Amino acid sequence: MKRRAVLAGGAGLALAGLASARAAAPDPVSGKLSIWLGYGETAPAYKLALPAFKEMYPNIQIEILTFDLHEYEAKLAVAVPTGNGPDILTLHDYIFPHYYENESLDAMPADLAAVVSNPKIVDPVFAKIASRDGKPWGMPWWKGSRALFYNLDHFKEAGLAGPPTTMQEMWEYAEKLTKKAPDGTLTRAGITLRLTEGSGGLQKFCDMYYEMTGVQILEPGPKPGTVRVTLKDNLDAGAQLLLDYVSHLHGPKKVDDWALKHDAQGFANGAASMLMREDWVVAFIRKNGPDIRFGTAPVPRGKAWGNFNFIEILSVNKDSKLKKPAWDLIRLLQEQKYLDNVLQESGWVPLRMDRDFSAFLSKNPEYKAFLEPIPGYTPWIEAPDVAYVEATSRTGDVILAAFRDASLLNNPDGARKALLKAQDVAVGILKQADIYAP
Amino acid sequence: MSGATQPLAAPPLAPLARWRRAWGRMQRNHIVFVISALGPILALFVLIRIYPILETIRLSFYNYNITQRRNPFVWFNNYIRLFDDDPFRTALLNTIAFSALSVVITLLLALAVAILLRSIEHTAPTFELLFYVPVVIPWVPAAVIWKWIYDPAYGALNYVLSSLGIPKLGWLQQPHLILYAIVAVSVWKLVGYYIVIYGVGLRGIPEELLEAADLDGASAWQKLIHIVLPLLRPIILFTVVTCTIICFNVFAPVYVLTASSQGAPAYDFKVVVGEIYQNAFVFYHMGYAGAQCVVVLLFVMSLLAVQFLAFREK
Amino acid sequence: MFKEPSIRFSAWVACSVLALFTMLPCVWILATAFKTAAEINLWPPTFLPHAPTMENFQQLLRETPFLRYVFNSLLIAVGSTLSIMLTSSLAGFIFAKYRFPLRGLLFMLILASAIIPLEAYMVPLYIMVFKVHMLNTFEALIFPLMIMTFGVFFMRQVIMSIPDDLLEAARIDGASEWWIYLRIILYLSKSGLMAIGVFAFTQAWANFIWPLVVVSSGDMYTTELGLAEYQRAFFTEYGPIAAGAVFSIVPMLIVFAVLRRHIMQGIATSGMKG
Repeated sequence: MKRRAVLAGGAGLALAGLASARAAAPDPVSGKLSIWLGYGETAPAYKLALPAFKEMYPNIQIEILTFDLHEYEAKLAVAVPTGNGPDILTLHDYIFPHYYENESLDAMPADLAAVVSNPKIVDPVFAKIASRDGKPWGMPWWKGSRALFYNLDHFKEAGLAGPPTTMQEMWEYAEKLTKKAPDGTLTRAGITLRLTEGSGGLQKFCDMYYEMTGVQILEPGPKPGTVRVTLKDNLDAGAQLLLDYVSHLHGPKKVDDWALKHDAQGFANGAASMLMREDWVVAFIRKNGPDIRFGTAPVPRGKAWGNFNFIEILSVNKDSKLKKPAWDLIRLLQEQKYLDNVLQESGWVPLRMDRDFSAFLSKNPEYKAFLEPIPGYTPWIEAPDVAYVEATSRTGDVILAAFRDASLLNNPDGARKALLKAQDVAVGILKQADIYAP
Repeated sequence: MSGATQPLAAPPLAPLARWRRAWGRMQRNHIVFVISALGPILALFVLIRIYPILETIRLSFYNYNITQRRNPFVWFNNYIRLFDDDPFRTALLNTIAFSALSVVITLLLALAVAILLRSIEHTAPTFELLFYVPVVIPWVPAAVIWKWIYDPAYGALNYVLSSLGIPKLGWLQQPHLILYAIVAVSVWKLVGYYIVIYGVGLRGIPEELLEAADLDGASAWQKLIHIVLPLLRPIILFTVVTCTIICFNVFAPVYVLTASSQGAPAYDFKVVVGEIYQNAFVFYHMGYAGAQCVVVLLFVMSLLAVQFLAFREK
Repeated sequence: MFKEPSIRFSAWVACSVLALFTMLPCVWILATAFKTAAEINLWPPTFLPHAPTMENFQQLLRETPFLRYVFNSLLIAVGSTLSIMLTSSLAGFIFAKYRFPLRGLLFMLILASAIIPLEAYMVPLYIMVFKVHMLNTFEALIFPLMIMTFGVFFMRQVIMSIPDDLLEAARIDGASEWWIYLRIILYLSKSGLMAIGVFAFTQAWANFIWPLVVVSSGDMYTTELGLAEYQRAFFTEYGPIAAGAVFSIVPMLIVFAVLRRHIMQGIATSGMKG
């Protein structure tokens, strides 16, 4: 009942927004509205919105340029501070603080700000990221979150009824699912762990760290923009997790190896039975591993139960000459059919809670673990701050090096030392950026 | 009076007078030519290279972050931080080892092949084209193919080795093997370029000299050591200097071979330009990256000075 | 050069082995261009395509105005090559054959400026171009490619071996310095010049980071930028990239094959006799 009321209320708001946009006569202002994307797979949604936008602004041309994510961020960092950036800024949550601090963002129109601040439409966890002092500066558009992917055939073969629900079960199942050749080398990983790339490796370790402790490694500090490092306070739980990792990477309980094709590619080739990754993997497996039958499930629980999220925020460049049309386009993109397109084409999940995606879900049940809210399953987001990339990369390097260190096997002291080293590295970087909160 | 007269020793001139005398030695029209021809070219170098590099060096004394408005002056702070920077130190050592191996192997191989090609001159064009193809292939597809070749479980290299009875190795996974793996890829990419360069140099050696040596009964080896190599000296200097610079700047192949998630996870082999790029465009610390550049610049310049001394014209 | 049969034999063997080493990965890339996405991700990977398809090429031409990108890259590469050939030969000539104060220092300065990669000093250069409102233009894309340090260095080494007497003889006959440059130097150093031309073309074509920051509209893309579109956030579509690589390689190999004939000619010294 309540849900339907929320849906109806949301639909009403959307219709009102639509009406106010369409009712106005076409605006004769002309120019070129440029949009740069780091996630090219969301481009079709913009293109779909072009006809409706043309009705409002017949003389404006839209140009969409797409790049690889890292290159996009580098290009943006060079262009925006010199006054050369695109009109619409599509910002990942962790680079949002840079552009806010640099005063590159235009103030939001009141109605869109109200939508962001409405806890029934946008989850406060996400709204907080895009706001400062309660005032939103960007429109959260879609989110990515993680789930456990598991290979149905491998599970059936090993006699396992369903996906693991606890961390303990996850490690046990992984050991059962691992296959070895006669000479001892691994031919199939029970679970593929993220073993490369500093910040990526840290993230996946951090997921499990959260389940074990209820906090992230890098938590937002009391003042907005500051960061706390929690490794020292949770040393035992963290060390236990590191020992779990090491014991499953070296020695008899090995479930993964550096010699195996890993991550999403490994899973799509059947070289791994389990994987923890984001929504895009569904489309990836369909295209690159069409023979794999898989299911998705919420991340296994430990002491806590929660899921990593990241969001994409839409803002307008303060130096843009087409600010009003840009905000109008952003407003337009909130409509159901464009959000449907984002979900359909890219797999990223629009995060407005007042929209209905049940039609999509019935055709694509693999997205259940990403789309449906589950009671007790807490979404959390990393602390976006100006040193996010550096802190996570460097700390991740230390943790990944620890994975490689076979001397940490059954060595709680060594594991504690490794984590304290990671703590020092993180603290050093945060202090250098003046955002460390003890 | 008999015998040669000793000229009086000239008194040492002040620098300005020496300068004027040096210009005076040149003919007028030579001066005009040098200034009118070299002037614009130097201007281009200043605009395109010298000024931006000086600017980068100047910014290395600031806490310059490209997305922030405040950029305080911090004296030598960035340079002091470099001493504590473990990843940078590792990257520097890795890059030095990589360059040393790459330069020696690439140039020796290219020189040997270029010399051999002169004996089969009519087929040389075809071979030179085949050797040159890797030079023009973009790094991304090339590095992916090499990642497949090096794969521990299914790569072509381990497949061939295992059929010879050698156990499979993790070429990109083992810290002590990845250096050689990347050197092999670098040699593959560059050797064709240097074969062409040495080819130009070798073709400039007059046939008459070699024919004269043949008449004197010289062996191939003697001809090589006493005629070919000395005449090739200027070109050899060029190849050593430029190959050193190119190898020190290695970035794209290392990035694709180690960081991309295609295939099996690789060891994180850090190199200097990778660190500079990461600090500048991923962490946005452009000032700090500038300091790293200065260190690399000083180091390589001293290397080049040694090379110029070793190969200078006699 | 060395006509001994044993040397010719070793030459054949060594060159064939090396040719195999250099070409096998290239052939693999060519094969990949004709594979479907599913086959590219097969594990263990295949060498030749089981079901060859033109889909990657079609996708490339369909989803992006790739031919326009090729045209842009060609324009930039040709402009850069001509500029580099001119500046390198002229500057190389002057450094090789004229003594003037500060010559050594200037040369070392030019050489030192090549040590640091463009990424390191790109931002000041970008700001400079931005201040004159030349961003997103062909001029801006060619600008950093108008000179090549290695070009100046190489031409200097090549021209150094041209006998001074030749130049003196021309001067006595009343030739101007420009005449010497155009008629004698360019002719005698043709092989080096063409080699520089080939390398300049390759460098201009492969340029990525500068076009990335300077270009802000789709019709100004180069081929390298166009191919980068196929690197999605977390994975890469290798089919179109391999197809694009094939597109890129063809012009460069054509340039190499064409200029090769000129690279083959040695420095004629018959002018010295008589």
